[in-house]
Amino acid sequence: MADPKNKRFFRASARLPHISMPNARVIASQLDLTLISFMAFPLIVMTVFLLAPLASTLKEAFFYHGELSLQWFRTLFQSKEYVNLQGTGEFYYIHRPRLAPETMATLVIRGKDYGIILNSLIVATSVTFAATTLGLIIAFVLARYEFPGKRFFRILAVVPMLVTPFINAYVVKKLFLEDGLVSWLLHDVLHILPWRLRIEGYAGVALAQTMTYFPIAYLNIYSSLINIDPSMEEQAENLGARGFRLFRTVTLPLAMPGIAAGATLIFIFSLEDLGAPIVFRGSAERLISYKIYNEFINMTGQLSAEVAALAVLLLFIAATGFIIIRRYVSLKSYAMISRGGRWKPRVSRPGLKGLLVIYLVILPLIVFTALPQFGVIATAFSKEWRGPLPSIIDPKYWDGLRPEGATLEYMVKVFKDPSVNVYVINSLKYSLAALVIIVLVALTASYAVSRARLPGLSIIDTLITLPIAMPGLAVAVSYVFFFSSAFRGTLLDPTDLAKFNPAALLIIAYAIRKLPFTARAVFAGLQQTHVALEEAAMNLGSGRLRTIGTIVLPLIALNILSGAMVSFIYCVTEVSVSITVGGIKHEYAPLTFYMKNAYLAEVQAIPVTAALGVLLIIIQLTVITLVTLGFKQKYAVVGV
Amino acid sequence: MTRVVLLEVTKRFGKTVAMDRVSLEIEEGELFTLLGPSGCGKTTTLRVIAGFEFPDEGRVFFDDEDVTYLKPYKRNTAMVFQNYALWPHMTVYDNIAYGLRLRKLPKEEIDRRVKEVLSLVKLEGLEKRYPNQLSGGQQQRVALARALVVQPKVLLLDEPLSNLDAKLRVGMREEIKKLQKELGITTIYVTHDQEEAMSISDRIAVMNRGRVMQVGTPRDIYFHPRNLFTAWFIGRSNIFEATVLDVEDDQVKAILNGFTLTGVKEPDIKLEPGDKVAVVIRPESIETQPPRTSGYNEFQGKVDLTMFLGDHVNVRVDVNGLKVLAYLEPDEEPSMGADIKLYVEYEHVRVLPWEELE
Repeated sequence: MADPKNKRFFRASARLPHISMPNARVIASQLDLTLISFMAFPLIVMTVFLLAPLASTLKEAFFYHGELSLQWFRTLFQSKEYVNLQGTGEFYYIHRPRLAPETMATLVIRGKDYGIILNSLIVATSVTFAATTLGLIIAFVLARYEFPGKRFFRILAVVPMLVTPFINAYVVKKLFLEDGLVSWLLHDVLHILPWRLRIEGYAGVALAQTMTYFPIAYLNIYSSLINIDPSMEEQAENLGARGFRLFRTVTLPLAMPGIAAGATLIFIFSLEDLGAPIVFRGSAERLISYKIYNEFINMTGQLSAEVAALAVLLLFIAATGFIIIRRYVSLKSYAMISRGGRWKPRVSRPGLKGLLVIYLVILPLIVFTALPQFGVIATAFSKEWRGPLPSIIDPKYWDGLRPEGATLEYMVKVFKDPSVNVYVINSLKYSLAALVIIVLVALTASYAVSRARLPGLSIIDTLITLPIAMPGLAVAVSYVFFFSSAFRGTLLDPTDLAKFNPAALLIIAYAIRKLPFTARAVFAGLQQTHVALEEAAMNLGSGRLRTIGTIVLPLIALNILSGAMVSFIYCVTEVSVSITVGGIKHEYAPLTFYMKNAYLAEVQAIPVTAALGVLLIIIQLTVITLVTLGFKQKYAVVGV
Repeated sequence: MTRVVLLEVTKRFGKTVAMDRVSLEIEEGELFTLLGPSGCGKTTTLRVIAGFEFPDEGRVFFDDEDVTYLKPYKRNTAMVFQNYALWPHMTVYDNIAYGLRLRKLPKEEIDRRVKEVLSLVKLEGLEKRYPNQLSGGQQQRVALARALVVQPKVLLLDEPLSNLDAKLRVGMREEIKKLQKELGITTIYVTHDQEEAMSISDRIAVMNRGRVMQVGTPRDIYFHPRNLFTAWFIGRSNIFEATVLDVEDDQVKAILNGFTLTGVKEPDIKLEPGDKVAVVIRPESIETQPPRTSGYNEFQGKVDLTMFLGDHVNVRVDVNGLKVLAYLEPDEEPSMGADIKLYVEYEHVRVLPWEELE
């Protein structure tokens, strides 16, 4: 199958007329009420809440004055605001303030502005490339070398996965201000840089996203690497391949599935990210995601068809990226033919030179990427952050052993202040409600796909995986178009400000968007559960529903639970729909909307946002610990 | 007591024909075995009888009831799966009681019947264990007990012994045979192990590529194979391609490699001079002592290889370039390269229509 020629043969032979399609009687006999409803339920849910909204957006984008037309897209591509091949501004420049041209001379890196569409493409592509490369290097070092402190660094390497919307990008921005930590280290302490350093604009967005998303690549590649049968590499060495040649010719191709999985997710995550663009606003507003968000903020009555076109374009770019990366990999992913059983992964002890590289380059890199999360925590407990460090860790503020710069004020506010609590509670309510839908759809769909033997069932599989490739903002836009027409004048209509209650829409959006995480876990559980266990029950007289209740559910309960927990994390930290559709009526808004507002509102509120970030970190750590310890499901968080 | 009948059952998976017009009649209380190499369709046949697969064509009857499209949970068969399919989240007791609880029996009766069946399979006292706390043999017995306890119409055994080690396997097959005779349940047994099939079955259906090649008692199948596949698959045979020279009643003269052999055919198989046939000779029917009566073929050859195996010696003899395998008594072991004369009774040379084997 690995050989492309074979693949073609396979397709060719599949095209031959089938000697038999299972006849209607056989199909009917295989079905029962339970199985039919297990197929129908996810199909209906996904059709109504994913396909129909998409269709109404497509209709909006492709019709111009009642006629099928590409006019809206033409408008986009002809406008300099969207596509500007020359680019404006400088990628970097030296800024010399008039008052102190020498001491305050600053190297500003911000990236050129090529218009909204190209900017998004450039940022997403460079983030994908940078984060995947970084992930690959770190995964390789951590998977193949044994050195003191490795366990600690393996944990540290996933710290950036802890989602703290807005505030982590804020920390990155602070780190790279002219009076920030990096500038201070490189310029004031080490004297490597003749100027101070500031990173902002699209470069800042790309930097923040790379630091946040590289663990996705790292985890996927890491698990690919440790699943490579060591004898593959040993055989290559045995034939004389060593060092980089071995890596390039054997290791890298075999790690391709992990690389692609990571790269795909990163590309889409970067494309739809709003956290970094909002934090770096002012110098990085011309991105598709920010533009759509801005349209929501200024929405009066209805979104324009231009936004529909933009959402379709966003979807198109994400889908194209998804397909290109997957296609590239399916050509390069090889069925691993090897003896059964587990093996001991290849690990070696690096020599002195290797150790130096690991400790002086790789490990500082890992520490560096984890800084935003630590920065969030420090901010939440600090009175202020002026200069390189937040006040809790800045030695200037210490009075002997008393941390004068520390405060619990903001954490207390998060837990005690009802005006903050309400958003936390909103988010928890919506997420739990979404979880009910998620578990029901994931369970019915996965069961139907893995157990019913009917042609065409892969449609359900595709439908429940599709949301992975769908930018949240495209969902948000399509929900506005769909619900404002199909449910006009009800509490589901986002354009009817008197009646609208975002709760239902948010619950549905969370459920659809974060469904794939649970669905994958449930599906994996079903695949590990031998069908014979169910057949044995049916054979003894148990109907299908009872078999599912007494045999299947108890056996996959842990998979459901761990999948649901991962989905839950992603629901609580969801940004795209929360700050757009969720922000239409403030009193019903979720936590991330409040975080954004607090972040944008005033300086004083930034530590509150950070404190909410800490709350999110606590929730995530709890869940991850439970999933990892309780269910032995490592890396469930990116198991898609 | 139930009679199981399959009428011209065909089952396809995509383009693979798993069952090709399979017809079988399995008598009440019989231990009937489906025997064949992997992929021959024997497990599919069993699953069609259990209702896990539905045939594309043909019918399945339990006595007079047409069960072709009946759901598996309405058939009252009981299956022992190859990997036992014990539910890991239930104790031995709960595994066995599952079918009884579905039948809504009173608690006391469930208790009594579980105890009974546990003593039948000699597992008393293990009720509270979980499957992973049992040995392979014990798991096998639990699976058997779970099937027997519901007093099924038909007991279905899918390679039940293939996961046990060799010694245990022999012991268990004796027990299964004894239990089956005691309980008198119609039993259909699937295996690829011909020795197991021979030792346990009342009758055997030999299957290949989705078709039933031959049905008969173990003796029948061993001594009177009706086609080359059966002859080749059951036991070890010398098989030579030959051409029919002459047919007289059931005696056939055939020519191969320049010499003539006399053998026998089944009465209802038609052969004409010039037909391409297979000559099948079992190694144990070859003798080295000159026979006292007529009716023997005789060949002259050179010993090519000998292997001492304890109860007999494998001797390979080169006869005009044909390699002939013979099983001889341990004390008859010839030396390598020696000239040797071999004799085979006409009766033991089976002549069958030629077919290509893979």
